Order: sequence, then structure tokens, then C-alpha cells
Amino acid sequence: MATVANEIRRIGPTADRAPKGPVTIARQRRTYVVYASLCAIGLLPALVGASAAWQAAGLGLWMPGAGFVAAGGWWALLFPLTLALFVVSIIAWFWAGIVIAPLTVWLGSAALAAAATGGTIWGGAHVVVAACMAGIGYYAYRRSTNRLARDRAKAERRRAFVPASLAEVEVRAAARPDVAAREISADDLPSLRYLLDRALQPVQAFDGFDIIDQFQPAALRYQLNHMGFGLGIAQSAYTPNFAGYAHEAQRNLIEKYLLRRVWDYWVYESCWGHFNFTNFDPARHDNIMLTGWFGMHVGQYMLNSGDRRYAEKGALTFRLNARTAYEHDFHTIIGSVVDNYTRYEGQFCLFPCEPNWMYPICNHYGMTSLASHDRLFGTQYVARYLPNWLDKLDTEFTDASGTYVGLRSQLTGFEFPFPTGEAGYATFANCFAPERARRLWAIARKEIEPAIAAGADGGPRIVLPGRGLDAGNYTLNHTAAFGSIMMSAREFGDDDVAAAAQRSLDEECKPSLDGGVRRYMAGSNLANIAAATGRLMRTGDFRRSFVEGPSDATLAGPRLTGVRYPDVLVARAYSNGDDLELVLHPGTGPGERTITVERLQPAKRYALSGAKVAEVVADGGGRATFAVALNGRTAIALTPR
Amino acid sequence: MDTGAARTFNTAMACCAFAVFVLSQLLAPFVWVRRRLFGEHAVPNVAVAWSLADAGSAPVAPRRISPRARRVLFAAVAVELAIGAAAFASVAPARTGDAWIEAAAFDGAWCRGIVNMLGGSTDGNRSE
Repeated sequence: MATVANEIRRIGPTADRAPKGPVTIARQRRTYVVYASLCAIGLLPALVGASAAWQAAGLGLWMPGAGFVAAGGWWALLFPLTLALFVVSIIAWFWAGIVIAPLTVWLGSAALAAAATGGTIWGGAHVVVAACMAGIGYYAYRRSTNRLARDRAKAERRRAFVPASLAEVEVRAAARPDVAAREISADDLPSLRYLLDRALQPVQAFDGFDIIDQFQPAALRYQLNHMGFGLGIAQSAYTPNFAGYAHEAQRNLIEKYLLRRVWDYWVYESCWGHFNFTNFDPARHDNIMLTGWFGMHVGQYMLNSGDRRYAEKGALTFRLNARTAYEHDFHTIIGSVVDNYTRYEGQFCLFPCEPNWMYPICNHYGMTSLASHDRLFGTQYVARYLPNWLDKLDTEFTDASGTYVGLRSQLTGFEFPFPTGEAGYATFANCFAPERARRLWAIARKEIEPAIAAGADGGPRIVLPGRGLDAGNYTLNHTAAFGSIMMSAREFGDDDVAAAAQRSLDEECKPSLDGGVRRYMAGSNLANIAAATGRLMRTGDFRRSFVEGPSDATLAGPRLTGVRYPDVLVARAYSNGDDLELVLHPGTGPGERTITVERLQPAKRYALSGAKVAEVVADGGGRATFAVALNGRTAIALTPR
Repeated sequence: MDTGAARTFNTAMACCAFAVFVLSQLLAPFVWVRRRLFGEHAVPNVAVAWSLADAGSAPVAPRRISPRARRVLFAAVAVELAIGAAAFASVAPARTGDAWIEAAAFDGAWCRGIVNMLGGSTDGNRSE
């Protein structure tokens, strides 16, 4: 796989304004010109002595609802109300890509104000509105100046601690778990079962998922993707030679993703965001929140399972109705990411999720999906696109503290506040730019450090300020934050931080261990997925599951297939090429279980330890079935004689 | 801890949590009033509690709006409608006859123009 060595650019520029790249400057300049033109057009009716209605409409172009000030009297109360409505319309814009929402509110209010205005306008209207504009402009300027000062101070602090922190990270992240000796502990299996329970139900069923809306973080697609990531990491790290229900669970999630209810948000966003009323193909224009995430998901499954079915033409078809289907496969999903990076290459390079809104975090998913494709099919997409992508990330999407901005408007060039941080980016960057990822984590871990305090048992835990926000169901709690921190800490071998996050989950997030399944009742399904994944991960597991995968010998070796869930829980299934090492646990109580192993050499004799017989002979199809007594942790070894 | 550190804690998992944040700020006063009136509303997450083994007896989500709250909601909407109607009734007669006719004519022309334009009529902007 091609990764590019890179350095985070020097943080904390000495310029007297926030850093902006050339594309951002050009877009913002265009926005200012359009706005200035609107103001000039809005002033024209007053200059030429047009009717009061036209003057009110013109004033309405200065600010949303400003025309109501011209209408005078009680109508003026609609000015602040319209401004509030405008804020809501902006939210609708980036909640669901409704580009027309703010336009409708702004221009619609101007028209309504014109209709509401009598024979004359209120005399002080233009002065009052101009004063409001100046006030808002001054507030924005002050806010920007204060933020710049804060960011500079933050950059100084980072400069001081990054070298030492990075040195520690380099050491910890270099430790590689011994893949030949890994197994899921009895304590961690209940977390895996949280994922398996949901993934092994029928494809059409979504029990155990949060179903709220399909536009934003609680959408089913994000739950499916991250559940797939968790199962893929378990497969890669612990059970590369277990097909059976492990593969079935991952395929179920991919099949669920193709159901219309999961992706038809794009039908709406195409209409009201792209003004496209005919082609609703979700893997075509923008929508990296689908293509990047789903590309990672499918690529990870194929890499760790050896199953290449989703590379076949039409294997990932999105069916809209009986007449219309959008035929895709892994190559075309990744092809969409590639096409969009090419289309926007001379602009921001990073491309939008919803129409207009570009999120660096989703573009990290996108670049990871390219890395997975490179690993699987020998393409060079990362080498081709990463240098420009990183350059744009640094110049167009990085603030004065060195942090990536949360999101930027593609149309206007303006940044909008969005709670992201180095920890979240670091895990993904580790898949395609590991040097940079370690630097990101070197920053994150030191900024988490002040929040680590003694927990109820005296051990360290993380105490986060406020009530938190669980984006998985829009409730106030810290479950998702603890889960995410634990994932990042695990990826870089920071076990102390991971343990502190785990303790916080256990003390603060209403843990429950019922029926052999661990869950945190305070959190959403998405937050529980992160907590389960973080619990299963060890150093480098995230990266390995997306861009390395098991060795060819391991994937070609014998594999466990015929076990029932949850009767038999598989904690380890690993082959060196011709043998098979298993660790099994009973999931529903002790007893004798029958298991099947495939991909043995036909008619060959194998020695067995840990089973009820000491030897098996593979049949003509390379299969063998035998009984084992499961009374707790049971290690089984199958070796050719 | 400074705000910068707090940003790090909110590690990104999905797009647009900011939308939720802004919306929550707008809704915060209403949430506060609801809490004051009806107390904390702690409903366990049924989705998280679900398990495959118990799939046959999956718990049913409790009604999110109680009948009492629904009655209060209807009453509040009725009062708001009454206030709105009263306000309209008091404002409308205050206009002079000429101004009212002029405004009504403007409204009609504007609407007709938009309707014609959407319908593809070439004289979409004509007011007659």
C-alpha cells in the first residue's frame, strides 16, 4: 500500500488573521461580492424613488426579514423572527442539504415585506437595518479576533508539548500485538455479542438500532458502517479463520445498507440540494458520507475475509423501485470517490457530504476507502490523490491552532463551528498517513490528560465537562465520547487513556451485562458500537483491518464454519497455513457442541487436541466435523499429521 | 481545561453534530420549560436494551407523549391560534381603505406572477 510520509505544517502562523487557503479566499470573496451586489440592488429602489413596496423588498435583500422594518409598526417584530427562522433554515441546509431553505426564507421574506408595506416606508428603516448589519459585522469580527488569539495561544502550548508527546506515541504505537497469540477474553466477548446480536438478525430487521432520522448522525447508515468496522476488526485481529456466522453477520450489514430505507435520504437531498429530479444514484455526485464510509466497510470485509463477491458487477445495487436500480459494486463505489476527488481537484479537493458541506472527517473515511481498494486490488489511488488532498487539508481546512476545521461551505467558503478533534481524525489517518496520525494523537492525548481524574475505585477515569452530546440519538451523555477516545487510545497503544475511558463508561454510562451481552444504557446504539469496538481493539488494529489484513497463508488455511450463535462463541481462530488454532466459549451454557472445519486437505489425517476425538480425517471436499465439550474456555488445535 | 481541550474530547464519529448542537441551543428554553413543568424525562433506550435472544419478546417503546402532556399541548396551540386571530382582527381594520386595496392588489399580482412563472408561462412576470 502506498502511504506518504508527511509532516504537519508548523502550527501557529504569525499572520494577523486566521489562515485561509487560496480557494477559501476566492470563495469568500465571491460571497462578499454577491452580498455587496445584493445590497446595491436593494438600495436602488430608494435611490430612484420607487414605490414603498419595492423599497421594502430592496431593504429585505440587505438582511433576511429587514424589509419588515420598512413596513413599520407591528410588522417590524417579524424582523427578529425572520432572522431566527433564517438560522433554522441554515440548519435545515446542512441538516439535510436543503440549499433552497435559506434562499426561500431570505427572498420570501423580502417579497412578503413588500406585500405588507403600505403607501410609505418607515423613515428610519435603512439606518436601523444598516446599524444592525454593522453590529452583526462587528460581533463577527470580535469573535474571529478572539478566536484567533485563543488559537494562537493553543498553538504555543502545542509547540511546547508535541515533541515529547510524539516521542512517547512513537514508542507505544510501534508495539504490535502478537497475532499468533491473540484471543478475545471472556470479559470482552459480551461486547462482541452486542454487535453480533444486531448483525445476525434477518436483513430486513433493524431491531436494536436507533431509528430517528436518516439525514444526520443517528442515521442507520452510520450505525451499520461502524458495526461493520467493529466486526471487521474482531475478524482481522482475532478470528481471521472463522467464516461461519462472523462472515454472515458482516454480509448482513452490507445487505442492510442496500435497502432503500437506509439510502433514500439521497433522493431528497438530490432534489432540494442539487436540483436534480431524475437521477438519485447515491454513488455519483458528492455524498462522501455514503461512498467513503460504505467503501471502507465493504473493503474491510473483503480484505479480512478473503471473500471478493462485492467486487463483482452489480453486487452492491441500490434499488429504488421496481423500475429503477443503481447498479454498483466495490469498484464503482470507490470509483465515485475517485471521480469526485478528480472533479474537485483544482478546488477544495475534499468534497461534500450533503450538497455544499465539506467535512474533513468524512473525507478521512473517503481516503481510507481508497487505501483499502489499493491494498485489495493494487491500485495507486492514495499515491495519486493524497499529496494534493493533504495540501488542501493543510491550507484550506486548518485553523491557526493547527486543528482541522469541522466543516466548510463549498458555496460560500465560510467555516462553520463543528465539534471535531485530533483524536477522531488520528484513527483514520493512521490508515493512509501514519506519521501524521501519530502527531495528531500526540496532540489529542495531551489535551485529554487534564480531564483524567481519580474514579470511584481510585483508578484514573476521564471527567468531561458539561452533559455531553450523544450524536447517535441526540441525547445528552458522554458515552459516545468515551467510546471514541477509547478507540483512538487503543489504536496508538495508549492503554492508560483507554483504561480511563473504560472506567468512565463503567461508572457513568449505566453499564448492563445481561444475557451475556454488555451494553451501556445511557448511550445510543452508535455510542455502544464505539464502546464495544474500543474494548476489542489493541494497538494498530484499526489500521490493520483496513489496509493490511491477514497474511495470504492465514487466509488460505483451514477455517471454522459450522457453529451456531450464540451456542458457540469464537474467541480465536487462526491458521499458519495448514493448521488451525481455536479458542471457543459456550454462549448458552456448558455442553457438547458439533463444529465443522473446511479447507482442509482432502482425505488427509489431522491430529486434534481439545476435542472429544484425537484425530479426524478430512472428507473429499476438505471438510471435517467433530464434537467438542464446551465447559468454559476451550482451546482446540488441529494439525496435519 | 480550556475550550480547545474540550473540542478534542468530542471526537468526530459522524457528520453534522454541530447541527444537533445548534438545534439544541434553539430548543434549550423549551426543554427547560418542559423539565420545569413535567420533570426529568428518563426513558431507557429500548434499542440498546434489545437482544437477539429475547427477540420474540422485544420490549415496546413507551409513548413519548403522555395523554396529559398532549392535552396541555392542544390547549397551548388553541390559545396561540386565538391570540393570532385576535391580533389579525385588530390590525386589519387599522389600515386605510386605499392602502389595503393597494396591498391586496400587489399580493394578487405577485402570487399570480409566481404561479405563471412556475407553470412555464412566458408572461410569468406580468401582473395582469
